[in-house]
Amino acid sequence: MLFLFSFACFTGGSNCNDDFGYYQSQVSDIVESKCLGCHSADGLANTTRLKLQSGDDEGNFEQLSALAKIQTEDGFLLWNKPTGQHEMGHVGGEVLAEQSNEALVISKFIGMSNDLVETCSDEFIIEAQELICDDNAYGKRLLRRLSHQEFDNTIEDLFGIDSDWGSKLPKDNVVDGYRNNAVSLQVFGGMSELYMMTMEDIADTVVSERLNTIVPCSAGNRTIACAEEFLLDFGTHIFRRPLNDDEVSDFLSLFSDVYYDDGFEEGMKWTLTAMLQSPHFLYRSELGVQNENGDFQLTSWEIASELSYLIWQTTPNRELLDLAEQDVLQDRGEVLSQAYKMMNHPKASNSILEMTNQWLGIENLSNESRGSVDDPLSVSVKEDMVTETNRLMMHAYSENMLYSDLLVSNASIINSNLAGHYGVEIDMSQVDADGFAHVEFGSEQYGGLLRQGAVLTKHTLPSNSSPVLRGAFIRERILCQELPPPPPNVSADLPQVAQDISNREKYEAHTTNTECSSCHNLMDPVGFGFEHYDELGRWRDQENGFEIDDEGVVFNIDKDDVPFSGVEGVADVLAGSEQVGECYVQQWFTFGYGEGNREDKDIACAVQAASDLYFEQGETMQAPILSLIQLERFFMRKGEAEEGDTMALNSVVELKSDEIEESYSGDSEDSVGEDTQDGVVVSYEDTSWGSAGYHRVITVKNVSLQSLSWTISYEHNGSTVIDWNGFCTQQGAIVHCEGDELQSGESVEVGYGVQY
Amino acid sequence: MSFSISRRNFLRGVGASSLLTPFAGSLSRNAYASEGNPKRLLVFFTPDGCNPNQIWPTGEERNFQFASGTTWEPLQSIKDDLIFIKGLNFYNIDNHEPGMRAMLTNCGSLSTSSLSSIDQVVADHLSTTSDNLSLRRSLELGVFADKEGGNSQTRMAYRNGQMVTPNDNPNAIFDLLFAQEYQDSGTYDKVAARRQRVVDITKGHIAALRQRLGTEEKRKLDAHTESLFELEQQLNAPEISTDIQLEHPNIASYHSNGNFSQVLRAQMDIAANAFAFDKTRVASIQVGRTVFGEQVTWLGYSDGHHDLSHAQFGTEKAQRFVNTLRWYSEQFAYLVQKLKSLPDPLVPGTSIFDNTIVVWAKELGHSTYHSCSDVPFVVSGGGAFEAGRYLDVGSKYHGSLWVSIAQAFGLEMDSFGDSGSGFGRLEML
Repeated sequence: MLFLFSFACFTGGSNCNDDFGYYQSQVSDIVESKCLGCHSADGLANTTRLKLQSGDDEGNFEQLSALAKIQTEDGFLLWNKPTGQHEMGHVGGEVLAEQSNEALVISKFIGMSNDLVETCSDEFIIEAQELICDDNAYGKRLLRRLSHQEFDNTIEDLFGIDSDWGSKLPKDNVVDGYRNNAVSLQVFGGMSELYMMTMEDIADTVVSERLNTIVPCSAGNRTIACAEEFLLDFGTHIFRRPLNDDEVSDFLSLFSDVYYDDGFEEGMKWTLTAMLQSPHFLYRSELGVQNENGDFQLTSWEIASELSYLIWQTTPNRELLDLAEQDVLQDRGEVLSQAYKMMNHPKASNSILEMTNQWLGIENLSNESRGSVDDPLSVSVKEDMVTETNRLMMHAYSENMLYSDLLVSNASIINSNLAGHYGVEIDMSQVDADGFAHVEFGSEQYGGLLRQGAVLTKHTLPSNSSPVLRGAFIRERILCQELPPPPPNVSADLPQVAQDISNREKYEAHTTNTECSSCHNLMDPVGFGFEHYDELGRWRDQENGFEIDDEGVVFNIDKDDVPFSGVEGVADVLAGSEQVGECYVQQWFTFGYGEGNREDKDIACAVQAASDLYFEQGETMQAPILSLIQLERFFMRKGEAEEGDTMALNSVVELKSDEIEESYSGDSEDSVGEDTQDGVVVSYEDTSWGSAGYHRVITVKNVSLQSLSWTISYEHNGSTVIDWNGFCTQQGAIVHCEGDELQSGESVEVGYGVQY
Repeated sequence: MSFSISRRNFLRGVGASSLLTPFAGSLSRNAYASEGNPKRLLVFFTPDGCNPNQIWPTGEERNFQFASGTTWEPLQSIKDDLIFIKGLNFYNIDNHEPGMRAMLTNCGSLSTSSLSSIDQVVADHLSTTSDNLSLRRSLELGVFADKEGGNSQTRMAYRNGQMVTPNDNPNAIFDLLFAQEYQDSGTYDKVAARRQRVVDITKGHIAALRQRLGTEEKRKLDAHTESLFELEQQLNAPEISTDIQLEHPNIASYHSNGNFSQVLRAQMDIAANAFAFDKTRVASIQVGRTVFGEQVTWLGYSDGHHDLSHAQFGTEKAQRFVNTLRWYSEQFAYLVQKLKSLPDPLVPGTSIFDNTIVVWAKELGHSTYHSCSDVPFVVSGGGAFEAGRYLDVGSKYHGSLWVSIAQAFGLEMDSFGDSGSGFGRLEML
């Protein structure tokens, strides 16, 4: 948190030389309108420490000035809560936009309450924390399991067969909006069995259909030597790096055993089956090799994969593997020039469309039911809508349009089926082989990213246009703002109203009712801009016989509230927003790197750096992808604490309870460590290293469902241990700590000093 | 056309009309028949809460009635087999997404990294204490539950913090459980041995890779290793036979709205048959997800499911929601009848239902208030609890229900999930 103090004198400051005067003249109105809805005796937030009463300035002032004095290391509570910056969040959401006049009043009130300024004539501004980034915002060393989409593309490109094996597996988890999150992609539970069945099926197909294209020998020469050559040559494609000797011998021994029993084809089948189940195929390695600074430099092989999966969502082709073999992919310039080339290859559509369809949430549309039960929207229209968006996006990327131009564009690419659905004409002489034509819409309100049938149909209720869902889409996907869920114990019904009002009037209850308005103001007033579109994405002049009012406000965009008129107005507001551009980069970052948690400072810094590059490079459609490649993060990974200095040797942890009685040796060569054993997590960290010794802090957490007692021992050769909190004793080189009855979920911190 | 099936006689590409007729005969291992212990757990979930005005019975604990038109009325004919519980609240939790996470975990304020759901805890217990070494630890069946992939609105089962993915594809599960592709036992032994070789190579590669990793990524490979262990158990599965005819579900498009009720029926059959073949002792059927957007076309409604749950009570739209919930009661009744129709291979002379604790859980109580108070639960006796009762427990945290169930399976635990919700079982149960 940055505090800016300056002492400027305002002329004409009235009645503001004492805190209460300032409260009455400036703060009270804000409190009455922004806080009282929930923070009242019968309000939603009546169990919090702020319980206000309408009109009671004195009582309210007393509470707020007490609150204004509460300060943690993250800053002032009274500032962090309403501006949505508190680490625990604010159930009511962000009710004050930073830098709004109201926020300035609150910040000055905080300054006065804490005697940081004397009167309200003095300026006191709390600014948002600046993100302070160092140059080495590298990611972690990772194994990234192939997503199902990457898996299918990889199988297709390796073997030249069609693959929907991946898409038939249980779906990957969606994290931060995408299903390729590096942490979440794992092989657990029944997955190994499903992979086994899948790989056997694939190997069967490959051997029966494509054997000639993958083995380097003619039908008469199919021997063990041929299999070995296959491993040394084609193996490099499957593992995305050459196999080492051990791996070759693993597979060759399996091959020969099967070969002697059942011949070459069966041998190849089992060899392929095994190769595809190996972690070296299933995971993309981003581990690197440690350099002299302790960081890890990705190998050229790893960079070839990273590049290929980022831009093509598939395994590196022969050209990239050749470059990796020559080890030229450490050269940032070479990688960038490859990237430019790859962006303009048809395979770039793999990535662009996968990212787009998850970003816009439309990947499942053709499987979702829409329209009325008697007159459902046909699958062909839903599929064509997704095709429309995909065609438009491919056009935007291949022309490398400005992202802002795509937002305001009134062009799209449709076929006669969609033309019929939308009620527009297309010139059939212009259609391509697939029946689609590029159409510039004039007075008909279609085209551009926001007026896609797929987007408008997806983000609404199936039988009714929903300003809430459309607004939420803009907030979350276009502005990258997370919305809080509706608070509990508030009726989420729209109040029953007379039938003869418009859809908009029904929803307006959300924004007039203070309980709802703090959040719904972020959604509904944006969504109102789309009221001319029905739930199937069709323009309507009237809604249910009512004239349509599609004026609205985008609250809290670039720290401002911007009114607009109609969908074109929304598009203009968004196209002019820096936040919208940053969000577009963030979306690509999350998809490209498989991690998007902005709470992680390194990620936030990397997104910011990529976003700077995006703006430098002209805010084009392709710029975010190329920005990702220009980060040092693309080539480097962070060293892990594991590789740090070591003092303690041979730790032994013993856990005891009725149910648990086991001992094990943990890795002890580390200054930080963690071990999980049957329901217990033991982690330790050595800190405050000095010439005399260091401190070891151990946390024991019971993650089992029963209570337990525990003992832990560590070996510290030749050191004296000073116990802090009575859990540990030393006998010779062994330090022995123990404690009783840790309840389920509880943890305890134990520490001692080690003297050299 | 009919097939004989044992673990070693398999078929490939079972068509719609084909039936599996397993060998008649006894189990290949000793069934243990300790009286009064539940053998299995089956969790059934339907989303988006309920209308509290139209669900609760009237009357006494052992003498209660469902008013005409109310949600549970379709369970009338089997109400003596079930326990209807009112008054359970989630600890420290309200709303859709938190409710979904807390439903089977009682997570309260626990961090995600330590969550385990009741089905997974019981599954871990039963798989380590069972004599059948080839049991699948658990079986997670979904009905449109995995359409959008995993997130905390679409998952209810957790194991040590990891979301457990339900499988929405009845065809695939059926093939995995009941059909294999090898014809005779000679071939099967050879295939099993080769599969084991492959697993061994994979394990060797994992071990080599693991050495190069930091703590977090090591955990990833440890999960992989455990998953391989589950696979190995299947490779060594013994012969099992019983008298049940199975029909392949053969549902082409399991995420297509028009097939919703068919998929649900298929998954219920698979769960019941998996028990009958002793393929697993813990299963769950997750219907949809919280905030379920699917149009309720199977009852002829155009409205989305979640949208219906927010209709103001008393309106026609709200009646559609109650009808939707009543339809779930009919499905649940079918599931119970199905379990009652199958002989229990572990306890001769009893049905699967007699020895199975079936729980119908919901993630929310009052649908329009997004509240997790008074969340309705329906539980079967399973050899552990006295059925045929309506329990108004007043106001208790629902973790106590999971304690009761865990204890019924012999787990010695006094609290489940966040111990902030207190200790002890649900006494009235």
